[in-house]
Amino acid sequence: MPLLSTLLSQDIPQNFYKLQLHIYSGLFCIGLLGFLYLSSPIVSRRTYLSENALSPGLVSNDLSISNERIRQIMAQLRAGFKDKNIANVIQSMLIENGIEAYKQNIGINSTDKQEENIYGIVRAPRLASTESIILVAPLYVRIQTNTQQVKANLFGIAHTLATGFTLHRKPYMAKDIILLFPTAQENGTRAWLDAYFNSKPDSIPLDAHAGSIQAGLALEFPHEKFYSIDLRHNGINGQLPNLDLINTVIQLCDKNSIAASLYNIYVDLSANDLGYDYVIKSTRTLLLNVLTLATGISDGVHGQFLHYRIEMITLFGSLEKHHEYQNSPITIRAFDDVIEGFIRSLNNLLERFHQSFFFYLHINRRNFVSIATYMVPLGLIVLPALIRSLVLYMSFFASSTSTPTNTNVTHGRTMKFHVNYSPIFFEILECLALSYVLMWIPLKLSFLGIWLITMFLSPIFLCPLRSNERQFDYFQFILLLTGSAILGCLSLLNYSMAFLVACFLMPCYLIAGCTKFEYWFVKIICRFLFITFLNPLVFLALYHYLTRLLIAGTLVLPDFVQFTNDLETYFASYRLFNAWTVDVICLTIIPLWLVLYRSTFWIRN
Amino acid sequence: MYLMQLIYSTTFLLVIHYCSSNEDIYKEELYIRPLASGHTYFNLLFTTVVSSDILKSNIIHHYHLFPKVIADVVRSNGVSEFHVSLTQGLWRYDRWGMPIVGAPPGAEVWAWFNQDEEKDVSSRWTSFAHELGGLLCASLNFVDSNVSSSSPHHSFRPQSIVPKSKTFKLDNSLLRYAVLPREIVCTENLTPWKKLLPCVAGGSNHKGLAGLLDNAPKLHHSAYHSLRMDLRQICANTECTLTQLELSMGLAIVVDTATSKPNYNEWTFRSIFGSNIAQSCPLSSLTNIYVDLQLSSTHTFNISPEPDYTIKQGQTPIIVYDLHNEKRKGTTFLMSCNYNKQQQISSTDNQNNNSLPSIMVHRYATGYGARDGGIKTVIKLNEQDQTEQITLLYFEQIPWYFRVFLHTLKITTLDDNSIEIKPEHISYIPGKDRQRSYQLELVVKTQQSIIISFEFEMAFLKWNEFPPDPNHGFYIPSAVVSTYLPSKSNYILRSLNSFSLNQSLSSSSFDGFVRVYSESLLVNLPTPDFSMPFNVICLGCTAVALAFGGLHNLTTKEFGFGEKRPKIPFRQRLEDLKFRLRASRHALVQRLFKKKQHEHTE
Repeated sequence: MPLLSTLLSQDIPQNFYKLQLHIYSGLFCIGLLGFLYLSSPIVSRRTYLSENALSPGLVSNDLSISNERIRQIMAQLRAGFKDKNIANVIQSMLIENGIEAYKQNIGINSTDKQEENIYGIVRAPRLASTESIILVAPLYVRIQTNTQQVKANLFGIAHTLATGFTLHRKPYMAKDIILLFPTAQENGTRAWLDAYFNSKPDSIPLDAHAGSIQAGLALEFPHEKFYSIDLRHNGINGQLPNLDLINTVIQLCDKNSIAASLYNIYVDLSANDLGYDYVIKSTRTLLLNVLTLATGISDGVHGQFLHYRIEMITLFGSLEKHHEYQNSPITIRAFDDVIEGFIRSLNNLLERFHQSFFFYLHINRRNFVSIATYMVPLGLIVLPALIRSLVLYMSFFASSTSTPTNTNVTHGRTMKFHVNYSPIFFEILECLALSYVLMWIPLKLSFLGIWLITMFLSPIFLCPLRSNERQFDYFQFILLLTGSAILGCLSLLNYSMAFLVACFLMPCYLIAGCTKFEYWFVKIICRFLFITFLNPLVFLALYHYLTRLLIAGTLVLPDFVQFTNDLETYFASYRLFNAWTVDVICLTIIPLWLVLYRSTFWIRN
Repeated sequence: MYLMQLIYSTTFLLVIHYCSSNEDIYKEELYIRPLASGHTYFNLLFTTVVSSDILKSNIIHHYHLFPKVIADVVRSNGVSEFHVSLTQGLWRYDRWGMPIVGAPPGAEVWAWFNQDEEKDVSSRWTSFAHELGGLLCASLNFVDSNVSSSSPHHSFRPQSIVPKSKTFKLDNSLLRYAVLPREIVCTENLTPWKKLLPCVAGGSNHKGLAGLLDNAPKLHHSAYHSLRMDLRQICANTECTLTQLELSMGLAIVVDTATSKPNYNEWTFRSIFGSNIAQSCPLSSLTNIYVDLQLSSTHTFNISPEPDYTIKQGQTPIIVYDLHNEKRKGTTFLMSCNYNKQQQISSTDNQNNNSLPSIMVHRYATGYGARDGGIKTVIKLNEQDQTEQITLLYFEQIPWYFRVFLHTLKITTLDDNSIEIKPEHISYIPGKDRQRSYQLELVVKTQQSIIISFEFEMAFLKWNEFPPDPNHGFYIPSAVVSTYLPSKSNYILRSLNSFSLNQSLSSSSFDGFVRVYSESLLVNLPTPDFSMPFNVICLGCTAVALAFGGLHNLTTKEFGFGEKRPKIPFRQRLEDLKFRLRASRHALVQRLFKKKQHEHTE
């Protein structure tokens, strides 16, 4: 339905025209500051357990796993890792203890060795295998300091096995427990999940299943001794596990006085007054949350499970000491209590996780902001685009009473000028085609390619946009609407990515709009800004530097070699994760930026 | 006088004698099979055979050993035979072998009805299920809903072995089959079931094998627990001129008997059932205990007391205790058993291949998300003893909210999914939303293991169609695979001729009929979040109202800017107000004055 009312440019108060730039930049800045303000205790909410059936830590601990037993299992595993037949060792240990165990062949790895996933199923006596809980311990895990290196997950496997052995034959178990030992981290996990849900037609079916998997836990412990647990919950494409699941683990960790950190940042909540330390650390957690989620890849094997709607987080054994007087590592007893409490809580769960939050950002382990709050800053940032497009729209129409000669009547309204759609259409199509072609060039080259071509070649190759001023406004109007629509969609799928993209795109719009002024100097400045500060590659480098700063917590110098390395690993691993971040960037954001950049070359007819 | 009295008393005695006709037979049996997985399978079987006269409606009955409630329910609803089972847990075919009679998780009922009755079958089925449910304290009243009932063509033939006339045609409209996978079985079902047995007195002083059920600690602390009841007609003599009713009741449990010592299992009657058999039931004509020593090739057994005799079923020795034996009269029968594995079998396989049953079914749901799904059923045949083709009859009943697509039905061999097998016969009744469930029956002839797969789409339920319980998904009942095994297996199976083991063990005929049940599945339908309906309604209504009002105004009304009102100074307004006040006072005065004038004139 077309709008019946004619909105005319003279309806806008004249003061607004004068202050337009101030209002736009003001809203943008308020949005940015508002986002940072989310970490304040006034805005954030305290976490709580919404699902009453979980009641973590209320069961009396029933499993007693002796240190000798763990040591014995670890010795067997160590021998298995040494002889390179760890799969057989784990399988025979499971079968010896009466647990059915199976192997899944996932193909040949780079060193011509067969890769096998091992999984066992502890059958619950009370149920006909319709529901299950999953415990995952990857055979090899990345170590904390260097993400390239992998180490055997001895501690994690040993505890998964020991938990399985002791929970076997327990009469109260009402859900099967799947013990999964995937071989090549995400790759193995994905192969197993594809086979379990038969989501790929060519995957070989598994030998045994255990119904619908409700939730689970992944254990990654590269070191045999650890001082705190780092909770990792980032999923693929900005997915997050249910907040109740994370709260359960945190509650259990607190009960057993294990320091549980998020992104390796531990906020001490015992202090009475929230001091400077609290603010800095909370802001760091919030920013890291957004920055890491925006990449679309997960920080552990749990991301693959979230894709299949299995709520899961990873517990990572960290070497960092967070308590001031902590000298000894965390005891096996305390750790096993966490695992047992978690499984017993899930065992009591009558429904799937559906309460609590699926969209949240953590401030620290006990405080979070929900979607209702964190959408406001993003809305403020995107608002200028909407206001500007409305202003432009209103300026297109002349009042119907006055009839100048050069008018164009559409839908009963009088437009001030005649729109020639073909150059606009071709302009957008050219940029889309360019990015589309570049996306299919090997990924590493693509960014460099985009950078070079757009900067030096595109204005030469493609003829610049020729139009009059009105036409240019119309072009801007279309771009603004496209941009805000893309951001709106993204904000619902992956908030963090939408936020970063908005931070990048809004200044681009501003600069592109400034080129309306007919001074050569302004145009040169605009082009320069597009090549330098508003370049996607530069933005990426800034993003990387900021993330490193936040992770380190102290001042570090930018490191270009590490940036290229990280970018390389990201592209190498991203396909494996089932993520769509790069596709979205290449097919929507880069073309948009390209169009905006090219619009600085426009020539007045 | 005395003579008359004598005649009366004699007739009376004769009548009593006639009524308590000695044709009624009651047998008690306990079948025990130690399993390789460290579990032990106990199966209590109670078989009552009575004259079929008790179902006739025009004479006065004397129920001797037969439970009166069952006869009433059967007679009033015109049931010719029925089966009901209530099961907790899942029978693991790959680890435990074959059960004597299989059962799906939850409740299963089927009944054949007599043809010539006044009421139609559906209403009789409803009332029968309600009455049976009341009898067993189970929520069998849900079976008559359109979600869970069906009439399969081939899978559930009558169990009665009475000769059929030549004109007799099997009409599946007389059959109703229902399964409720959600049903949870507990002591409240066991108690009414137990009371149907003849040797169960009031209180807890039961005699015979029923005494084992008094306060058994492991009865519900087990990996599998299944109650069963079957009623059918059998021949009274070999020529089959007379028919009798056979009521068979069974309780199967699988108990974990492993000890902390590896490979060592131990159990006694007291540890499993909480008591020993104090007295034998005087009403029973047979009280036998069988111990199946299938594992005797790999395990050393130590069983006390000494068995009465040993019989051999194929390769497996079975030891038998006869509790009606003269030497056991008046003594308490207690039994203990321990066994351990002889040699360490160092195979990485989960099962020893020889002990695998001839047929196994494994079923799982495929796909994820809230729209599409699928089911794959793997039917594994033990290829070692498979020499000829066997015919499999596959039955599946799926609730209407899983919309099955028949065109996606695909049967392939397990080893190579490019070899497709064409089924000999397909009988498919498509479901209707809220009226009828999907029903699929396949006849497949095969020599190899096969996979049957098909896909479905999930329906959106109305909000009041969700069950009131916590929602963790919707169940798809077990698939049923029925077949005749060609070769004699190592397992004791129920023969079609008799529910009583004594008869099937002694008879040489082997029919090899098995009915294998697969896992039931739990699938998530697209679900609204019920925990916050109020929030959602409020938010939704507000959003719609705001958006609707604004949009409606924008699209239907034309906005224009009105003329600016001239600014009136404050002093002028004050003047106006003064003037108005004066005017109104004037009006008031005038009216009062007029009124007075009026009065004066009067």
